Parts: sequence; structure tokens; C-alpha cells
Amino acid sequence: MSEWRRVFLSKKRLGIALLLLVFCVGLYVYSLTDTRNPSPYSLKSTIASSRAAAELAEKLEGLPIEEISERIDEYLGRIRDYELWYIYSDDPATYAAVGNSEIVTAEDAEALIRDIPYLYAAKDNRDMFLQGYIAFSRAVGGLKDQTEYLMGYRDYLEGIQAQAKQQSQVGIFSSGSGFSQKNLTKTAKDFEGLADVEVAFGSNAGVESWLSFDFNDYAYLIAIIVTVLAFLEERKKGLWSAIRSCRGGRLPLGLSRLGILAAAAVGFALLIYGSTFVAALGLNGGWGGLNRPLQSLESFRTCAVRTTILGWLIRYFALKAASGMLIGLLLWCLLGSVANIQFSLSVLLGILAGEYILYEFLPVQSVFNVLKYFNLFSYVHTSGLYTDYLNVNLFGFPVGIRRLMLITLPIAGAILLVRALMIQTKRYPEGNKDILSKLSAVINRFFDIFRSRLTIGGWEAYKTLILEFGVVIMAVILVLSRSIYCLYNLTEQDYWYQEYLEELEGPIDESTYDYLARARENIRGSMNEFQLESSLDRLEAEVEKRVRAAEKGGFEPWLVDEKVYESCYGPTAKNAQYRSAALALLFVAFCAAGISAYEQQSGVTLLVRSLKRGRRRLFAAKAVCAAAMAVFVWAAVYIKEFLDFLKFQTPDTFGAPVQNIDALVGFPLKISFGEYLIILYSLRLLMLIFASFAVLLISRHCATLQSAYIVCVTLLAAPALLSVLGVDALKYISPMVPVSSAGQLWAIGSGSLSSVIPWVVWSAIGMTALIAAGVGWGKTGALKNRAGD
Amino acid sequence: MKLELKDLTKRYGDLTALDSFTLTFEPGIYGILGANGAGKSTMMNLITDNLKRDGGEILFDGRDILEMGDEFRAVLGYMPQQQGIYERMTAESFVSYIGRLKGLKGKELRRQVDDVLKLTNLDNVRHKAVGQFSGGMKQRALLAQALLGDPKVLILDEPTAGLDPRERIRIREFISELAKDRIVLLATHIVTDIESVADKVILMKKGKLIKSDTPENLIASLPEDWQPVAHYPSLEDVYMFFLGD
Repeated sequence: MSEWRRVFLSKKRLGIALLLLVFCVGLYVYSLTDTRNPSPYSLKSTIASSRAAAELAEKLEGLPIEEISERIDEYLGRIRDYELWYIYSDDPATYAAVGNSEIVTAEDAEALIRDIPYLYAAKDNRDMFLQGYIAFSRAVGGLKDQTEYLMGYRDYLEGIQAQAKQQSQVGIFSSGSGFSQKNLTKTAKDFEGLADVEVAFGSNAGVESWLSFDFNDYAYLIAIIVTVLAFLEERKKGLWSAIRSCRGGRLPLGLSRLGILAAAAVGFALLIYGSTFVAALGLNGGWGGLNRPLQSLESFRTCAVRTTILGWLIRYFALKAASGMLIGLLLWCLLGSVANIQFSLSVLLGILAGEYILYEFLPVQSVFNVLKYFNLFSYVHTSGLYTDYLNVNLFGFPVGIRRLMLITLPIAGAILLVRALMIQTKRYPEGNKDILSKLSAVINRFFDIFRSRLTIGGWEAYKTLILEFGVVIMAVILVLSRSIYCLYNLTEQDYWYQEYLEELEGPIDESTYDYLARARENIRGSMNEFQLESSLDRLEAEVEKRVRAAEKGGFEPWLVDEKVYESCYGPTAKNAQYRSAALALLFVAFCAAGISAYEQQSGVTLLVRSLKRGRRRLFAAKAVCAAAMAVFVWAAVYIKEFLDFLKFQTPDTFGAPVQNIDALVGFPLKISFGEYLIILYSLRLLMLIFASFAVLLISRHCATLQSAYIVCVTLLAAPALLSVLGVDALKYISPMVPVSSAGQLWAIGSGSLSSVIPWVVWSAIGMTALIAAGVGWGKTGALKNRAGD
Repeated sequence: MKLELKDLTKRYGDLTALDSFTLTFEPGIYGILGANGAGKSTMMNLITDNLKRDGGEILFDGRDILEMGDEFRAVLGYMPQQQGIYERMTAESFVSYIGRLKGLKGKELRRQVDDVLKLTNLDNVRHKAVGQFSGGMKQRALLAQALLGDPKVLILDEPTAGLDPRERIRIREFISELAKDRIVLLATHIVTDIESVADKVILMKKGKLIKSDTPENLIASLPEDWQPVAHYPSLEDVYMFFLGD
């Protein structure tokens, strides 16, 4: 039992398990929010909308699917009509162009949503209502998609049979000996058994969103890896020989560890997948529909297994635990065979990277595609075995990848189990061939040629990027930042107005008026004359407004698409901008936390401080490194954002004075939009550099890299991230507001000079942090007072 | 060349770790002996300016080392007691990096790195990560870095801990060769290491200087009725007599 206690009750592993659980549930909940516009109402409205949609689904259950589809259409139409009235009722011209003419009074409009309590209650708060509308439309839209899928499922099954029949009559396939024909025949046979399955309408959002939440799989893999690494701990601590020499240090210990691995595989599967499953169904609804056929979920369209959703869930959890056991045994065997424990992490990363590359990037058509599917990650993403129907070519015969993996699982499991026990009992701690050490010495010999020529700055960069795994962190940041959608773009409802505006964007001069006059001529007698005229009226009014404002303010009048700037950098985008800033802070904390803490962790602080250039010069290199990391994060997050912005707005209007936007008419500097954007992005860069200095100061007081990451993330990024998730009180605890900068710069345009305060405060904190960190590094007697000898 | 400690005092709360300690070092090897808590490491941390003093002065050729700052550190070589080391660097990388921080560069850096790695018998494992080294090998890597830059003041805190007898003798002989025109402060628990190489032995107890003299004079100062630990009186007897309680 002591081995069980050591593995399961270690503070480190308990902490990791708790963190994984928190991350899984937290990220799942975050995945429900509107990632394009993460407003404080986003989560609340998503949950409320999902529940409302689940209630609607329950009401509609049992009706013919065509009727359900019509009822949902009517529902969607009603809320769309209300939304248009809600937004444009103050602007009769636009409402006339885009709204429903039958909805005239507020009573008419409110009657449309009276049976949707959440939306009805939110109508007095514009932000909350709009967020609720988006979430509700999406949730009900999901029901609509489901009806279309259900109506087409029978055709899909018939299509498979028809295709197989048809291909068998085509010359090149008809011989029946080719793989393609065998594959089609097998597919048709597999799906034949589903012919009488009655797929049914219900609330699928919970299970579907749970299925699409991939992070569970990675968290489970991490949990299994952590368990296996616990088996190698004695080697790392130099206790392997001592433990092997104990009475119970061989087979009994090996058997104990098998039990531990099995318990971990089952326990973590229930903990990680179970907790998110409960969260998914708790937040989205859908508990009642688990007895429907599995194919009622669109994700299982291509699944040929005949069972219910509940039946599949039981199979899935069992398969998950078995897969976890297999992965654990495989890693235990591989890492246990490494002679030098120092290389275990590199070997582990190498195996995972190799398998992932094959799984993710090997083309389906490749002759080696067996390696793509017969892969460690197929056991990691187990649901794919059910949701993706696939036969691989095994010696000319189509074999279902799911069947292949299921047959392999016990066989490979048994072989690996025996091998793991042999490693535990037979392998000697000393005298093993250490090929990796020899290989690493050869590689190091080559790299030492370059390393011995590095300057102090070069060494600091090397330590940050290589020894502190900065390169890995940066790669993760690049991957993550690619998936962040930074801007919130509002589309203009009046299509014709938008078209004319795009044509006319630029300085307002004679050609503008000529264009408008010509446009009026052209629309005469056209089919959409009324709508086009209304759009042109709006545009002309806009031109006049710009000209008057320019005369008053003394700047050149331009016609620009105000909405694009406003929705990307103005108040509409506030939440998206805060989210980007919070993520940038998180990235800076991870990138720069190791720079100061690495010396502490290595225990070399006293040594380097006794060297001629180990104080000011070394600290200067560290500060430059931290700033460089901030520049990297800035580029990863904000250059991406700027490129996203260019998708909405070409640089043609960058020359226009910023005062041409209503909200910026009071901007104190006579600058163009291009210059405005340069100021905005420069401010962000500067604020992120100050954040990196704060990280430098904080991490100097941390004894290990892990504690530095935890403390820096907790102090700098966590309040910002929580604020984005809706805890508004934490907004000013972190530097999220000055890093975001967009809202403040925009507010200056309307005369709010107090908006500069966050920049001033954060700049002062950043510079103080830099000085304090520098003084702390170089000052006399950096050792804490403690009795020595 | 002179390193003077004048009335050097360091307190940790109520505990006085170094009590008005006064001593002058001139070129030669100084073996520092004292039980745990005697103040040896405190003294070394004060000389390397890793600890703030509460009183007194440390003068190098008449100038306070705090005023000298980098100038003093340029003549200092320090091997700390703890085996703190960049575990993921190779021996060559580690020594090269420290050489850089000592202000060495180019061919001179590479020459010195080669020399110290050969001297400490690490040349054949120079491309191995230091984390894979045994305790004794790490000790040698730390000694190697201390020797870089031809330091005038060399502070070695337990330099032979963890080394096998052959390595200890090798390092000891090497240290005795170093003493020319150099101040070497050698703190150790292994009395025999000091006996054979130290020009002078400093006996410390509870932060105070008990005695400072050549090993021969210290042995001669033992009372006649003292019963030697082995057959003849040695430095171990001096330790037992002056610091033994």
C-alpha cells in the first residue's frame, strides 16, 4: 500500500490532478462563451440560451420532424424580426430598409419574444440583450441543423447502399477483387444493420459540445504520463539500486504499479471525462434524451454501431480506461528502457511529437496511412473511433479502424504488461548500454562549438529559449494565437448602403458628389429603387455631416466606414480587446517567468553574483531578454489582430484624419488613422514590456521555475482572465486595461483625458519593477538573512 | 596584495555569526577550520558580497570591496559550498558561460576553458551535461570555473567534498601550486587537506577568531600533556584542543 500512497497522495501529483480538473471544467465552460465577443454576459447568456433551446427541444419532441423544422423556422424568424426592431427602431430609414414592416409598435415587437423569458428579461440592457440574441439564435439554429440532419439521415443510409450497388456495376470496380470495391461492399454491409434505426429529435447540445471538447483527451494523457513518471522517480533520485535490493522491490512492486496504473486509468477517466460530462449536460440540458439511438447525434452520422447514446457512453468510458492503461504501459516500457533517466523527458517528448505528426499530418491517401490511424493518438482521441468511419487497406482487405484498434488493444496490452513487469524485475540499474548519452555527447560536441562563442546576451537568450523551454512555450503561443479571433466586426445590415460606402471611401471632394448624382440617375426605374434611394439618402447625410464636422474642426473631410473602426477598436470591441490583452499578459508571464527564476532553481545565484559581469551586465541581458519576449508576444497577438483588421478594412483610409469618426472628433492630435494605429500598437508594446519587467521582479523571488510560472500567472494574468469571464471587479487589479489601450485611446477622442491614468500608473509600476529587480540583483548582500556556518 | 577584514561583524537576529572579526590575508593558502556555525561560510559570503555586513570593513589593497564592486570581482574566484550548477549545460558550456561573465572572450576564453577542464580532469566529459555528473565531477566543474580568469583572490568552500582520495590529492596538489602571488582561502572539514597545503590555519569558533598560525606552530602550541589522537600530534589534535568542545 505504501507505493499506492506514494503515487496517489504525493502533494505534487494531487496538485496536478486538481489543476487538470479545474482546467478541464474551466476551459469547457469558457468554450461555451462567445469567443468572438467574450462579454461579461457571454457565459450567462450562452447557458440560459442553451437551456431555453433544450426546453424548446423537449416541447417539440415526438412531433413529426418536418413540423419541428417549421416550428423552429417560425421561432428563428420571430427573434430575428425583434432584433431588427430592437436595433433600428430609432432609425426609421434603416428600419424601413431592413426590418419587418408588420412590426410597428413596441407592443407588436415585445409580443414576439414574450414566450422567451430570458430574452424578454434582457431587453432593457442592450449589451445583455444582444449577447443573449446571438447565443439564443445559435442554440435554436443548432436545433434547426439537427432537424435537417435527421430528415436527411435515411437518404444518407440509402445513398451508401445505392453507391455500393452502382459501383459494383461499373467496369473497373465490378471485378470485386480491388480494394475500392471491397471497401464499398464492406461499408454497405456495416450500415445495413442501421436500416431500421429510428433517429429521434432531442436536446443534443450537451453531448455534442462535450464530444467536441478535445482538451479532455490531452488532460487525460497528461494524467497518465504523470502516473508513469512516478514509477521512474526512484531512478531520478538515485534510489533504483536500493529499491531493487529490497525484498518487495521487484515483482511485488511491479504488480503494485500495474494496479496503480489501472486505478489511475479508470479513476482519471471518470474524473476528467465525468466532470466535464456532468458540466456539459448540467449547463446545456439533455439528460432526458440519452435513450435515443446513437445516430440521433450528428457527430455519429458515420458510426455503424447500433446502440443508444447511453449505451455508447458506457462503452466509451470503458474504452477510455482501457486506452489509458495501454498508453501508460507503452510509456512505462519505453521510458523504463532508457538507460539514462536524464533523457526520459526528451524521449517522451520525441515519442509524443512523432506520433502526433503522423496522426495529424500524414495524408489519408498515403500508403503509410496505417501509421496515421494505428497510432498512440487514436487511443488518445478515442471518440474518433466512433465518429469517423474508416476502413484501412490491410493487405488488400478493408479493415475498420475501430475494429482494428479494439482487437489490438488487449493483445498489445498483454504484451506490454509482460514487458513492463520484465523491466521492473529483470532490468539492472547499472551496466546498461547508454546509447542516448553517447548520441547526446556527439550532438553537444557540435553545439558546444557555437555555444562557447556566445556573448552574455546570447547566453541569456540560449538559457531562456532552450534551457527554460522558451521555444516550446513560444510554439504553443503561436499555435494558440492563430486560433484567437481578436476583433469583433459588426456587419452593416443595409447591404446597399455598405456597397455605396465601400465605393466612395476616401477624401470628400467633387468626385464624391458626382458619384452620388450618377448613382441617383442609375437607380431610377430599377427593381430596388426604394431601398437604393433610402441608402443613398443615408450616405448623402453622412457626407454632409462629415463636411460640416471638418469645417468646424479644421481637418480634411473623408468618408470612412466608421463601423469598421468602431467595431474593431471602439467600445463594441471592448471585450474582445480585453480578452486579447489578458491572453497577452498570460503569454508574457509564461515567457518571462523563467528568466530570473532559472538561476534560483539552479542554485547558482551566489556564484554568478561573485563574477565581474554577474550583476549589472547579466541583469541588463535578462531585462533585454524579458523585453524581447514581450515583443514576441506582442507580435503573436497584435500583428495577428492587425492582419485580421485588414480583412475588414484596406489601408486606403489610413491617410484619413481620425477626426472623421464621430467618436474621435475631439482627439487632441491631428493625426491620420495610420498614425493612430501606430500609436495604439506602440502603446500596447510598451505596456507589455513593462509587464515583462514586473514578471522579472516577481520571479526573482521564486525558488523554482514552476513556482515562478504559478506566481506570475496568478498575480498578472489570472485577474485579467477572470475579469474577461465576467468578474468585473478584477479589471483594474491587473494591467489588462493599459495593455489593451484601445478603449482608452478611443475615449481620449471624446475628450476623456483621464483615460491616460492607467498608462501612467502601469508605466510607473513597470519602471519601478525594472529598477527594483535590477537593484535587487546587483545590490550588496542579496542573500536573505539566515544563520550560516 | 592584501585582503584585510577589520572588525567584520554579521548578526542574524540575536545570533552573532561573525563578531568583530579582524584578519589580514597576504598571498598564500589559508586553511579555515571551524565547526558548523563557526562563521566560515558567513565570512566567505561577506567577502564575495553575497551577504550584507552589519559592521566593519573588507579592504583589498586598502580599498573597500563594496566601493570597488566589479573591480574587486574581476580578481575574485569563488567556488561555493552548495553544488549549484546549470544541470542542462555541458561542462564546456558551463565553464565558457562563467568565463564570459568573468569578462573573458575569444581565443583567450577558449584557451582558459581548455586549460581548466584539463586541470580538473573533465576534458574527456566536456560535452556531457553537468546534470549527468557524479557529485565529485560537479565539484570539479565548480572548481574549474573558479580558476578561470587567473583570480588573485580564490575562495574555495569545501573544494574536496565528494571527491575520491586520488582526486583529493590531485586537487590538493594543484591548490598548493596556485598559491604563488595569490590569496587562497580554503574552508573545509577535512583537516588533512589543510595540513599538507595551508601556509596558515585559521581557527574559528562562534564567529570569533580563536587562533591563526602555521600548522607547525599550532601543533607546537598544544600542551605537553595533550594525548594525541593518533601516534603524533597533528592538526586534528589542534582542532580537538581548540575547537573540540
